[in-house]
Amino acid sequence: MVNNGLTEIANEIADFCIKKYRLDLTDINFNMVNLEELCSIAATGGWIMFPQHWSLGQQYFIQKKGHTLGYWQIYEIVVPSEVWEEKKKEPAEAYIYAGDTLTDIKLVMAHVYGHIHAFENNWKLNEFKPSSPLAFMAGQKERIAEIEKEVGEENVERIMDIGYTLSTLIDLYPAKKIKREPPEELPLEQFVSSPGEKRQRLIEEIERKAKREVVPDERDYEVLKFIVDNADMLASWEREILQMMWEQSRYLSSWGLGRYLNEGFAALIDLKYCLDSKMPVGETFRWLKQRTAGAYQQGQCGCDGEQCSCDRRTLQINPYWLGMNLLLDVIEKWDTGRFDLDYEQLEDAREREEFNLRLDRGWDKVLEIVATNTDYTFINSYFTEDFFNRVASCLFVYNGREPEKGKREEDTLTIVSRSYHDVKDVLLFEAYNNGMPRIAVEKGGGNYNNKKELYLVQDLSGYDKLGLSPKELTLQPSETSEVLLKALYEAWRRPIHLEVVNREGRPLLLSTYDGKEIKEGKVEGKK
Amino acid sequence: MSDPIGSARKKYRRRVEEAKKRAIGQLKYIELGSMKRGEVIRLRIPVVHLPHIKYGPWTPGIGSGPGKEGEKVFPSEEGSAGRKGGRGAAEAIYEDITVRDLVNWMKSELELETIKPAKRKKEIDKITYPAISSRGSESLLDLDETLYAMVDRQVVAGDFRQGGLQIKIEEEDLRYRFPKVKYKPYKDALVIYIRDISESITQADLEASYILSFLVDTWLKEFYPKVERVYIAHNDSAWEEMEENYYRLKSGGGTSYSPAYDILAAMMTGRDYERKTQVKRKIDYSDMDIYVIQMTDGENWDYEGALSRLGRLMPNLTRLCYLETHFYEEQDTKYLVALKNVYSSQVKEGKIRLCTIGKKDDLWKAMKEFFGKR
Repeated sequence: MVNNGLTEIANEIADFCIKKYRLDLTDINFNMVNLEELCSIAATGGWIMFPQHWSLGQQYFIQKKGHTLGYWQIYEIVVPSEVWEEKKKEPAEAYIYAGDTLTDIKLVMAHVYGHIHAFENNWKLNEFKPSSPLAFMAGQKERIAEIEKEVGEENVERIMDIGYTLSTLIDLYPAKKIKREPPEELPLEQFVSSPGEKRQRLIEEIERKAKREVVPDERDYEVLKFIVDNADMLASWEREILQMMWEQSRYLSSWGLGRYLNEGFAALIDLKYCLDSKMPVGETFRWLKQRTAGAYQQGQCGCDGEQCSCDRRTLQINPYWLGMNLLLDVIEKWDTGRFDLDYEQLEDAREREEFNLRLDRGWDKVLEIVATNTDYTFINSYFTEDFFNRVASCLFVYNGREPEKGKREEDTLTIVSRSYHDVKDVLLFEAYNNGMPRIAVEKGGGNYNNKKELYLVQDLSGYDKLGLSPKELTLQPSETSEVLLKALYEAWRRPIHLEVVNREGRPLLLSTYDGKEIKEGKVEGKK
Repeated sequence: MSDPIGSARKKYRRRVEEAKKRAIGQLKYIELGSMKRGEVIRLRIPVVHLPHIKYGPWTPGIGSGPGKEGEKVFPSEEGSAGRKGGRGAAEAIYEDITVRDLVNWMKSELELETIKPAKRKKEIDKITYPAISSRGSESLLDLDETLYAMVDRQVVAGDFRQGGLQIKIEEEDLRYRFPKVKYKPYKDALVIYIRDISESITQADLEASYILSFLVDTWLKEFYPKVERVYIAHNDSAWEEMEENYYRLKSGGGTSYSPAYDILAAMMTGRDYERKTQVKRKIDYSDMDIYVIQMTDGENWDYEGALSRLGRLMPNLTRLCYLETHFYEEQDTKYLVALKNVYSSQVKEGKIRLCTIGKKDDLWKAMKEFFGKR
């Protein structure tokens, strides 16, 4: 049922945003949902059709509980969706909680437009996008339901658990461009061969098997994809499910690379709309008060919602707060022209204060940043010392120790540094690859020992530029051994070797030969 | 809008049920005891986070808030309390274990036998009169309906005059109530608990009997519309005890089963017997399924007398469950062996069920022995 009043309001806001902020919008379906629906949609991350896994049911309970007890509050969920063909554009879907007030709904709509603009224009968010995301997810759901009927639910669940565990082992920065090639048609001659040719081919095959095969021919960061392609012990349906998990997790985790940018831009749009549109003063004031109270403050406490009322130290930064403030800073700089060397070289404080070229290029710059950056480049370029001192001086760098037995890890955490460079380095570190370790298949690691064993290596190159030594990049021992290696063994079904660093910073080789016991060894000389 | 997590919710539900089943198998004595007292056991099912590979705690991270370098991020007392509240919401979900779950578990996991209550001889439960008939016995004559019928007849015949109603009942006006008889379908259950309170009974034996009686009650209530309970305590002598005091009796004296059997026989025949209850009980054994649950630690000294008395009782009993607990004392299974030998055919067909348990956790085993499949 279409609510005409709200549709009118939505159109109004869209016109306003397009005219004033030059947003690039697609069609959007706004769905007003009740709490029950909101929680079940939040459990899937916004997809109506999503592969059915038991963890979604659990997530629903968590969301419901958090929402009803008031730990957090979800205003909106957005899913981009379109087909890149003329006349066949699908609308994007947005879900808004119907229990909000009208002012909230208006501002959330503006917020949604901000998200849609970022989804449409940011290159990284579009890199792994399937041609129609909703249809892509729906197809996965249907296919997995079909397989479930064939082989049984437990089997599918087991493989999906493995897939989710390995879902971080993907390459979010592919060196080669993704191409969708049509399948090659084999020439007819390949099927017709004389006996002599047949024998020749057999001999060649035996020779190739006898020779040490080098798979892959260079380091491959797509570990999950490599397993899907090369594991010969997988059944076809297992391969299919893992392939689906790979596609899905690559698309969804690429959103994390533009988190500050995406959320910050949406927050900026609704802030600007709140100030520019002629809303009643009281409502504007209420909304601004709400922003200062929680939703857009720097600290985001342990709960993963969007609003929370803790003002203590927290371990996560609110992406709305950081992204929005960085963009506001950019607007100010580019409006006044303070980004140039002319400004940097000024030493008199009064002159610096009064420096203003009246360029008014701030909004152009913001749109440009949203289109061309990821979080890494965004923070790298615009998180300046000046910004840190003025706005973000509350940030600190912490680290911890291995907790003693029976104690929690959180109790060991201490504040290490509050200096600008350290904070920026760690911010960059967390923005790179979603803050996950990079694991790669070593060159020739698909056929290690010539027994088709898998040889993986933790990639530590480049982290020294961020001031991080290999010592600090050691993986969590229990997670590595119990979770990762076992899941890898269950997928590859041959011995697994993983080269990591230990706490002293020396390389260490973890091997498992049966999926249960894990042996530690020394790394032999590199081949 | 269609439900986006329809079957995922079912899958998770199944996981929760499995966790529940696992928890019921490991229920502690105290918990079962509190369940008997009517409390609901709350089960904490921790949230399972799908594991990922990640860096250790020594890897630097970024946070926000006040504080100097070198300080703890969360000072031990005050800091943790606030955060616990936030985190706790998403750490576990809670499920209640009810008596219903217990019964389901006994059905599915313990695979106990479903009991079919014996059919009753025709006994009237209730008589209702839903219809009116023109024939019947004189005692069922319904005067109101008869008068209505008379007026109707007079109106139709044209005899009815306004102002004066002539009461003139003829034979065709007579109306009778038509009875409908409802019979009781099944027999009720009578559970007779015979508990040993001799000197050698310890607290552990007492607890075992306390929990076992709860389990037996729960299980029988599933199949019988009414379960009545009789409590007999014995050492050298025996008497019927009230339910409230039954598990508070102090132990002392020797062990002899025959007085307990005597009391049972007296209940059946209607003779007087020693009791601490208000009313003398008369058991109509043709009307009830009688289960005898005897809980003891052995060491009976006059087993010949007991056996002969039991022989007289046996035809009227539905099932005799005999539990011997050997938690601390050395084993004395003389009576049990004698029962096995004398009533070998009945033991085989399952009328007499014998069980010894060596530790508290074996109560499920006893339950399975008493009510499991044969």
